Amino acid sequence: MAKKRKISGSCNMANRNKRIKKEEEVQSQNTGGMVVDTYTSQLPELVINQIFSHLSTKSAIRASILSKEWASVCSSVLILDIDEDEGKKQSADHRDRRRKFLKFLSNCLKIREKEKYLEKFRLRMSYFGGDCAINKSLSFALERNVKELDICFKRENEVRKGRYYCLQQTALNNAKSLTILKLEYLKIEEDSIDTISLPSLKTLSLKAVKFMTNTGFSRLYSGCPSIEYLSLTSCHGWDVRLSSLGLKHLEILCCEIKLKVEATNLESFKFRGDNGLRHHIIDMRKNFYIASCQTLRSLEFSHAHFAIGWFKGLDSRFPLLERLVLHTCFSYSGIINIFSQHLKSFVFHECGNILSNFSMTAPNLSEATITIEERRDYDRLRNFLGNFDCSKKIRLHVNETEVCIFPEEMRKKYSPPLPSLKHLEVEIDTFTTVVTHSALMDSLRWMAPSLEFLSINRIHYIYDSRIS
Amino acid sequence: MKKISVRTSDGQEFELEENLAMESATIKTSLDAFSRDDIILLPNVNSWEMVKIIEFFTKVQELETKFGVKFMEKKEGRFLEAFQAEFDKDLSDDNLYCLLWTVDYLGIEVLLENLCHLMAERTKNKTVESCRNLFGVQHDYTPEEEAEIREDYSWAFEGPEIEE
Repeated sequence: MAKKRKISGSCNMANRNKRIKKEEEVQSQNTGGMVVDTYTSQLPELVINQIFSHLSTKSAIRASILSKEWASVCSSVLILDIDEDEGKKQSADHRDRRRKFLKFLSNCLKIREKEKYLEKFRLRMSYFGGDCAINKSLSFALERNVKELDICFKRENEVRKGRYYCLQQTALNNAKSLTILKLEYLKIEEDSIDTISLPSLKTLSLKAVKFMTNTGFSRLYSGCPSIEYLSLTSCHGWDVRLSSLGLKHLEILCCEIKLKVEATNLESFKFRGDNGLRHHIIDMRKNFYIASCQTLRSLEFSHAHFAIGWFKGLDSRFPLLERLVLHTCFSYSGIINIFSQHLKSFVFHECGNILSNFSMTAPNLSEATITIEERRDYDRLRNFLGNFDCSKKIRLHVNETEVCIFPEEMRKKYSPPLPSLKHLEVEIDTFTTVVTHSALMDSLRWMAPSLEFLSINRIHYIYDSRIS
Repeated sequence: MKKISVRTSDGQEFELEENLAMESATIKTSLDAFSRDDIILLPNVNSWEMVKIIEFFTKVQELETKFGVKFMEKKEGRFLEAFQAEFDKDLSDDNLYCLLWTVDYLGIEVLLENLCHLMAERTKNKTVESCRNLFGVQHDYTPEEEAEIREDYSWAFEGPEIEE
């Protein structure tokens, strides 16, 4: 029997538990009595609040129209997440939309005037002036001890030199509670000699950010003693020296900078060496240094041009390395030799001439994921694959079936590249005909004679060695 | 590992591993108050919900092994995606609502967080009327009040989604 029960008032854990205990006592007194079905009760306020915290502010305001209670929960949610592009209609009148957006922003702040705290403030919009509204939002958030601040300006599609919003450095001063700071496509104006102090900042992410001086970034970084995660994207011309002991995760993507990493507690490092915009590979021979690190577990390189012998002594420099990713990487000398005792996972995405002069010794390799996009010299491919024979599992991703079909004469002459491999997963981008499929099976069977598990495009094959 | 027995509202009994049972603040409090050997009665929990909850924990353990991360301790984006994919498909709106209520009752923080996320995703595409039905909410705005909100926040009320 359904009973409608409205749960009002502050529904904290203690009250709830008291109610539950009472119910249990009642239950233990009744023998086998069925307790009332309470499914149609309203959700407690805290739960509604939690649902709201997963909605963008735009969706939340729309939901607030459900009832006055929902509206009041909405205004008590301590998260503001506003994206100008959300649900954008194509034909919208630009200026009118802009005006409505700024009105929306200002009203959102107004209803939260009385709140003393704000957990998160995210704003994403295009910059057409309107500094006043933006400054107001920023100070609103910072006055309320916001913990997570995410300000992102959109890069305009037009070729003209975009105007940048200028964030005053002093605005960030004394943001003692800030733990996450993300800034995109703006300029930081260093309007004071003092360093900004962000004592609780753990995550810093800067994308297409400019400082007034060359030392702007270093000064900002020096004011953040607790940083654990740093990400720089499309930032140029800086001299980045990182030697803090707390830094755990570092990401440098598409930046033309001088990089010197001496953070000895680093756990992961991700680097992308192209400029992003102009597909120009950043020269890693000079201005790129990463010190030996006992704690580093994951190294990820993409579009990187390695100096000669960069991988020499990899194992002594990063003894605990578990994961290595090489995506479209080149080496000036054309030779890459990798030895890593503890490497568990290796991901490789085809790049130019690397296949022929690549050798890897990783006795503890669990998983190798290889992506090849061109039909190559099969001899080279055979040699390359041979490096991963010791791996427990190989995932091979090719764009067309022919890549894996070794020619018959070759199969007769040479020994297979993967004699010990037990587990192989193949993914092929193009459709395979029936004829090609049987040729593929023959080739795979030769490639890895000891296979126990084979799947092609996620279809599993029961591999029975008795079937010829 | 000690097993805790629970009985749901329809009389069915389930055995939970102790560490999983302790994820529920409600069960934990009961265990502290009563003896551990007693069967815990959960009058507000239906058996299908219990099945779902156990399914959740199994899934979490699978994902933890797969990604090598303790999801219970960190909030991870990939986990949310994987979780959504698994849980979203066979839960109707009403079932999700009931499950949400139950999980809140049981006080399982992690699952609650994820279910709220699911529920939030679903609300985005609904009309106002269907939301009111789903959440059992009474429409208490006068037409003038509602018009005022729509005017003040007009930027939020334009957009491709269906309106009432």
